[in-house]
Amino acid sequence: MKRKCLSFLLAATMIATLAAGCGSSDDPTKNMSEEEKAAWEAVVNDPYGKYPELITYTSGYNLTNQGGDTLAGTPYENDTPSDNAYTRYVKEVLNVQNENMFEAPTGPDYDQKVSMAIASQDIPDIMYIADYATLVDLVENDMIQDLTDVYNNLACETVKASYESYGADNNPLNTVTFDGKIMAIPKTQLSDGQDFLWVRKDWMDKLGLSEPSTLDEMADLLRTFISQDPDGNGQDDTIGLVVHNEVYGSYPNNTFAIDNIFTALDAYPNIWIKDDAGNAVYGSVQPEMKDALSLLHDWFEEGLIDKQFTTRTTDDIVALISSGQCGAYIGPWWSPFNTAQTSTYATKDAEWVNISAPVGSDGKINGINTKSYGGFVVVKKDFAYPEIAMKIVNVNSEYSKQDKTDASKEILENQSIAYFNWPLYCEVQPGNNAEVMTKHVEAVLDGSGSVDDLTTEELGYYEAAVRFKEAEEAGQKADSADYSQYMSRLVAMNRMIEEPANFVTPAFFETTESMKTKWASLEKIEMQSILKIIVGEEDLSYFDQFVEDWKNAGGDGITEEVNEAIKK
Amino acid sequence: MKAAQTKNVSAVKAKRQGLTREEKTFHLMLLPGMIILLLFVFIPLVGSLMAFQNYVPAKGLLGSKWVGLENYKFIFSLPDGRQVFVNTLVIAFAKLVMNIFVPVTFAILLNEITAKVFKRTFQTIVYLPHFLSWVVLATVVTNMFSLEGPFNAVVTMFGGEPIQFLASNSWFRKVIVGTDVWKEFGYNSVVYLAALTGIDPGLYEAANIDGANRFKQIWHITVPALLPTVVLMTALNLGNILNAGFDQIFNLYNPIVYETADIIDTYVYRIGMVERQYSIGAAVGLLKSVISFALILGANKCAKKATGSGIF
Amino acid sequence: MKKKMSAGYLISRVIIWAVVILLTLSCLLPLINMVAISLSGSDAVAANEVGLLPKDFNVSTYKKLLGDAQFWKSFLISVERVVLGTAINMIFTISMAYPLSKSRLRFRAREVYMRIVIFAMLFSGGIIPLFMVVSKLHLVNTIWSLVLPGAVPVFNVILLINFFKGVPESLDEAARIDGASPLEILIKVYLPVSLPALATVVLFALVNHWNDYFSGLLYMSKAEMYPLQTYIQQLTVDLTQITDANQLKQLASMNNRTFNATKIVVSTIPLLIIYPFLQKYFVTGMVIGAVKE
Repeated sequence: MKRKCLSFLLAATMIATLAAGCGSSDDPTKNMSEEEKAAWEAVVNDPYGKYPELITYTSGYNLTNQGGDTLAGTPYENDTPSDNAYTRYVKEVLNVQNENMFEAPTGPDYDQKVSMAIASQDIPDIMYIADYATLVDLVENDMIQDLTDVYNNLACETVKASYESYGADNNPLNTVTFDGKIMAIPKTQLSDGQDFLWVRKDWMDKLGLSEPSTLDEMADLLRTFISQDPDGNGQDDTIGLVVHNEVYGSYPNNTFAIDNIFTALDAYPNIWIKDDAGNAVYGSVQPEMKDALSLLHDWFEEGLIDKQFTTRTTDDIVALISSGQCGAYIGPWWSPFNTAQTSTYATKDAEWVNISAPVGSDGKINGINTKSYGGFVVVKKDFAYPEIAMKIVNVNSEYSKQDKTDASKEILENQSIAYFNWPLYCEVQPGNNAEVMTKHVEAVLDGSGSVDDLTTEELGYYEAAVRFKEAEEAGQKADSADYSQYMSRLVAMNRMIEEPANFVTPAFFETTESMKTKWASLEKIEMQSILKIIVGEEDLSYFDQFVEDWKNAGGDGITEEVNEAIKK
Repeated sequence: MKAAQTKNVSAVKAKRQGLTREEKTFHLMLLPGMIILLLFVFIPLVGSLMAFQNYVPAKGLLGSKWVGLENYKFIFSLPDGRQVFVNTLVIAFAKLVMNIFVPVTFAILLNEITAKVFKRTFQTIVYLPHFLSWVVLATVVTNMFSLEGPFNAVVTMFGGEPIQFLASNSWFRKVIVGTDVWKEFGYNSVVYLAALTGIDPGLYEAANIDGANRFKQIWHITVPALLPTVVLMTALNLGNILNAGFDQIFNLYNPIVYETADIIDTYVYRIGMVERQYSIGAAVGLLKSVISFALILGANKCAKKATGSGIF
Repeated sequence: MKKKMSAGYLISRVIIWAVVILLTLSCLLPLINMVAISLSGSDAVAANEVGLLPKDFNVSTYKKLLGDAQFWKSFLISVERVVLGTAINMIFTISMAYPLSKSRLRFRAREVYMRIVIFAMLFSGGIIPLFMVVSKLHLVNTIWSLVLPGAVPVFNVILLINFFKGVPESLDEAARIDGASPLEILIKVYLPVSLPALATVVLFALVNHWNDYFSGLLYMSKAEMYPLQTYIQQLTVDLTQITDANQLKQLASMNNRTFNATKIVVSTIPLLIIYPFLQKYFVTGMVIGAVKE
């Protein structure tokens, strides 16, 4: 192990402190006196214990996609992924420092670096990985260590409570537990909730329309939009609903997709749901899909849906909305961050509102729950300080949010600049965290709460809301960042709290053995068929043909595998 | 002449005596390049063994399970395997032909323009679209071919119904080939422009004196002079034939046109989206290389028969 | 000599100019559009309102870019890479094309080498093995990882071989009779008459190095070592999954098409400058006249 360690570590053009990481396979307490040992144990077992000497650890760093210009002119101009507000803070609180083995923007680039590291058999001491399959690989090949004790002894209250907030079935810890051992620290997903129908209220007011609720009411609204020239440019060019050509999936991270229309009719495409007998079945091949497809086809024929939706790029869709050619789309609560809204707000006096439509048979939107986890922090097999991983997660998820000292001011500023991510990129929050934060901020705004009770993140949102209101009251347009925060966290979120939705939790999130090779073909058949039925190239009866084809091309086999997987 | 003959004799003699001094120099000149190829092509080539394994990065090459031809069996049994393969060939072949024809024509036309300033300016401008990525061009293309775009404006002017080109299985490939040719013709014409400068102006003067008009001159002098370069470029691009243009198609396609537009690379990409499939990717890559190699060798034989000398 | 000013000639002139101008214009317009976008306000751009002229004219994105230290760092890295890489490419291209352009009689091992070289052009072991080789050679995170793996551009080598083949035997023989060594012949005879071919190959090598973003991504573990295209490319990625509050903030600025257009314009300008410079060499033809046939 040591020889391998040396030769591979030398390969990285790193500073000599890496040797400390190599030597870490020794027991750090070997040469300590009894009292030193006791002090050491105390530090190790304290969720926020600060190390007496600086400990360095190697890691991979998740960069954001922002250009360096974002930092220009700020006091953080010269910060790097090894030396920024977050790493300095962690160093101050815990006395640990990261040495980055690789850095890459979050997403496929970062994932590739992880793959390379794994393939070279040279992974960092602690790193974030984005997908479950990689975790399984690492566990099966004995490359990472058991974190059960680390978690049980050191996880702070916030982390423990957050995981539990997802319920026993959806607890992220379930996913990272292999043979009863916790092998990674899961990162929770940003609270997402249900998608809404986002509509231009100024158009609705102009045409005297009230908020729709059912599918039929929604159709009426769209009908009025396309026939009565709401943007007043004298041309018959208004488009009803814009739709992304991927149509559905990844709920609710899927702006411009129309899952809600399907779910309103009890169809749940692209996910595995439980049928009445309790078996998992694939939503896209269920008979309820036919009603949804039939409706969508009618809407398409009538022009209620963008007739060219199959060929629009996302930029095109944004352009349609930004230019005032369209005023309705379905998207998540954080839609106000989208350029479509910020630009129409700034230039066209647009007023956007999120409506709970289309509703299902019980008058509520049918939403779909996402996975409770978004990624995992893993620790290399023989790293001597695995507790560092948990401590950093603690600092990220709890400590920094409650810290009111000056030290955390840099963190607050950096959070609004949003250039760097936290090291280990793993913040743990309860499932309904966004709602909770919104409630706190609302309390301060309506006077029932105090500013001092807000966490640093909430404070940022509160200040944005205040700025937005002040600008509006002065008759000006607020800064688009403030618009986005206010509209999403206060207005949209508020609606999410007041008008709860039903949520279906998919029975299965990951992939099975046959899916690795067959899923691409199955998905191809599915997307081709769905689109062709909607645009009318095939008629509705083709759906049965599609289901047959899907089952024969491996769908049945995969359904069996999924059912086996969830029984485990 | 005599000198040449003696040289040949000594070369023949040399056959039995080892390397000539000249050959020694040649070998030395090739050595550094060969080392590079050894290090960066042949050694990593070991990795193509992944094609016969169920490769898992954590296990590495030595630890991953060997599956023989399983991956290939899988590829050939894919329901759309044939469709995808045919699409790739059709699109790549159409691009091959047009990406020779248009640049050559352009080079010849540009060559006819003698005003240096204009010639240089045009040359510089047309080679620029090559540098725009398809991510950026996708929006431009979708706008150009949308129902309200200029192409449909022409269609309606002639009394036709607007066509959604990029959603039509009868038009998509044409748009793909056309826009690709547009993007690359300037850059591709560079080779031909270089070749054109090598034509002896005396030939044109002689033809002029003989009374041939410019068109005849082009046909009888310019085109034949370009032929070797055309043959060379065709053969070299045959090596690329199974790469029908992933970036472009990926950014422009949608499920409705999968049946004419889905190519090998986009399909393999979607397989990789489910879970990174190193083995399948390696298997497909290896297959492509083998086919390309066979095609190039075949093209070389044809070229030898047709023009007397091969491209290598 | 009197030019034939026939109607036919005039018509053909008009057609030629018309076609060339149309084609050139079709290439120019999207570029003008790019420049216009880079100089326009982001709201107008989002609404696709920018055609050939900027709307809500502002140079804020250029100011931002010129103030972005990393952009310049990456720019310099790219320049360094292009200079080093093209020089290395040319050395290998020339040194390999020359022997391989000789016939089998003079260089008996030629066929073997050719097959190896073509094989190398078509076969690849994949990203992971290449990465591991580069990493074992300790080239990762250095400029050499960008420049050495592709040091032998086989496509260019083959191009040059064929150009060299076209050099008249007589020139070669004349030099040999004078007692020149192969190296001297190469430098003093072949290179001077192959300028258009060399310019072509230089152009290809140069463009390849300038445009390549993938090697930077693969071999550089620190963002500050990224060459320009890698740096630019990472800024235009689509976020499909929002798992972080940070990403929300980025959403708005990432759809900043204006800024992206600026980066593209700025990174294409060097190419605009280089090409006319190389064109000088395209105009020089082969020097015939050294030998009277």
